[in-house]
Amino acid sequence: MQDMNAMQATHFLRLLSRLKPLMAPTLPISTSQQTKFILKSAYASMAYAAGPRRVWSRALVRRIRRNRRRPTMRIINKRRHVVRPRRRPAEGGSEELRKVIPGGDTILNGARLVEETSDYVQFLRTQVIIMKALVSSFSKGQHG
Amino acid sequence: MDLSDKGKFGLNKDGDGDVDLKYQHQHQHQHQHQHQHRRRPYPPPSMSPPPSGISADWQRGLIPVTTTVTTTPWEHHPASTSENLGFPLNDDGSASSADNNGLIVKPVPGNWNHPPPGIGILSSGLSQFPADSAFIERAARFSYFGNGNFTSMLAPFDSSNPYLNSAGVALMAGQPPPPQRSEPPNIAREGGSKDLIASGQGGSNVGSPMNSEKDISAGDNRGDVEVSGSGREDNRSKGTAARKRKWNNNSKKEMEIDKSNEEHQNKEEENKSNLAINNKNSGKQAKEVLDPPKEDYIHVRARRGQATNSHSLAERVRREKISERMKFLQDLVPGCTKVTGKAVMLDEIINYVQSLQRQVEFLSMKLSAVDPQLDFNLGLLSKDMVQARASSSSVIGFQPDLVNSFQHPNTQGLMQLGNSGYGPPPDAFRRTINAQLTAINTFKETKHQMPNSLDEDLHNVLSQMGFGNNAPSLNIQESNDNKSCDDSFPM
Repeated sequence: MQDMNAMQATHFLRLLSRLKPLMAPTLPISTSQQTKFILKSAYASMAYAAGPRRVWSRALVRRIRRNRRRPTMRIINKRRHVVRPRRRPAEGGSEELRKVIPGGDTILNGARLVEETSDYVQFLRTQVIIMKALVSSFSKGQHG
Repeated sequence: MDLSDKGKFGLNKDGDGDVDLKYQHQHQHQHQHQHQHRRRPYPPPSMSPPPSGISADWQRGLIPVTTTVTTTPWEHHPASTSENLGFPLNDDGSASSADNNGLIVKPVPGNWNHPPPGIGILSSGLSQFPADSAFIERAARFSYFGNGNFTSMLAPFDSSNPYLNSAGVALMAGQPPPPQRSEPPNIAREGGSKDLIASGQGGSNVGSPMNSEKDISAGDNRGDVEVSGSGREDNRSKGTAARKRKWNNNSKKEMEIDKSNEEHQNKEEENKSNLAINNKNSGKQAKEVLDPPKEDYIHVRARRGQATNSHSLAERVRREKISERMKFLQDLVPGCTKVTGKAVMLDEIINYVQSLQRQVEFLSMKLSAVDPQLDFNLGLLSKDMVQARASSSSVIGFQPDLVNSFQHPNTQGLMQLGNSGYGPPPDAFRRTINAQLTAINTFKETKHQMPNSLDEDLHNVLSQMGFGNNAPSLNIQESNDNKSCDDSFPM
């Protein structure tokens, strides 16, 4: 668990630090863009720390990549469609949960869904902790 | 007579009226020996530990049920668990007859409440072991270990996941037996809950031949059909068979029905005696005999007065799995009282997850606002790392290292550390250092005053964390303290 925190923090900071070199040369990016980037990097670090074994981490990565790149177009019947994830109809009384968890709609098994949820919650929590620490250290650094 | 004695012991302790007694009667002298042996230990002349020892064994969870009439069985308890992995139930290591392999070591869970007299029962009817989920899992695994064929299959099922093991074992169990088995596994897979059905299938196949007629009839009607198999392998097999039979009956498979036939069983019993001996696990029998509410894996026994439909059984197992994970989730989510039902809890969880996501978003906004230039210098990084570590009870080892690295005000020191860490460092610490180093390098290009501020930052961090320049122990203590207050992180 602690190792995961460390990994998560590391990845997050790395991703964030990547922003700096990007930003420095160019004009200051709008706050919203910055925010989005930070958000993305936060989720990316989460997913990276979680590993590919988790459904939600894979879905997160897919989501992030999808935003960056154009949605892959596949030639179907000589027509180009944007491939959208197929919605699975399976529900075990946990429809809302599936909406919240990334990639949850692909999880059919209710038990598996709960497992993924708990894992996701853990990583989310550590991510929040990391970001809070970062914010506080930032503000302290500025004030101190 | 043992049998009569057994009666005294109340073999039928379980309200199931199981046929343990019957089986025991039917059993050969071996069992009787066993029984005797079992009963002896009660105040075991040769056994040093009297009932207390037995209880200790119980607590330990292993009561070797072997035919040998020596004290070894009891003494072998600790070994049996570990040694029996690949070896069917012969944990005692005592020479047991081929068919007897023994008495399967059946771990007796700590919650075994039966008084020592139950030992005799135990010896006679393995089915009486209380079911401990962990133990049962082990037992199930052991039971399937009987054949050498299984050993090869053990590898993938050594995972800690009990469900996996049970499923795998169940499937495995289903395979070795003759063609009959092959069908059930397939059928099981077709069904929804393959692990359950498979286990049931496998069990039925194995057990059916072994099962005695009595169990069958009882099994159909009552959910608590116990495989009354007496302690012997027959019991084991029967127990397993009975269990499986119950399952089979529930699943209403043809094969199962056939198997449930006594005659069928009788014929196959001999054929499969070896299998049974090997396969049947004392634990399984114990499970069966006991009145377990329901095994979470491999086989499910319907509760009293509940439908023994295979579907309902499978559903119950599924529900139990889900509830188990929900419990874990409950612990994660703060403020989730146990009183709440499933729906309310689900809402709570969803709210919590959404709030966490909103928090992340908000914090990211804050982060971007705090430093419009996104100047994530090393100091911030290090500070964050240290604070994150401390607050989230991070690895202890990380702190001293970090502190030590911070002890060197020179960025050079850090760089040296970082350089050393450029090897193949899987440690987060090293990675952090690397990250910091890269940050340092990056920022060094842009700002030459980085090192100074870095030093200042480091010192600030150290002072903030209450770390002296020479107090790595403090860090450890703090981290320890932080660790203790783990999830009470103020949000």
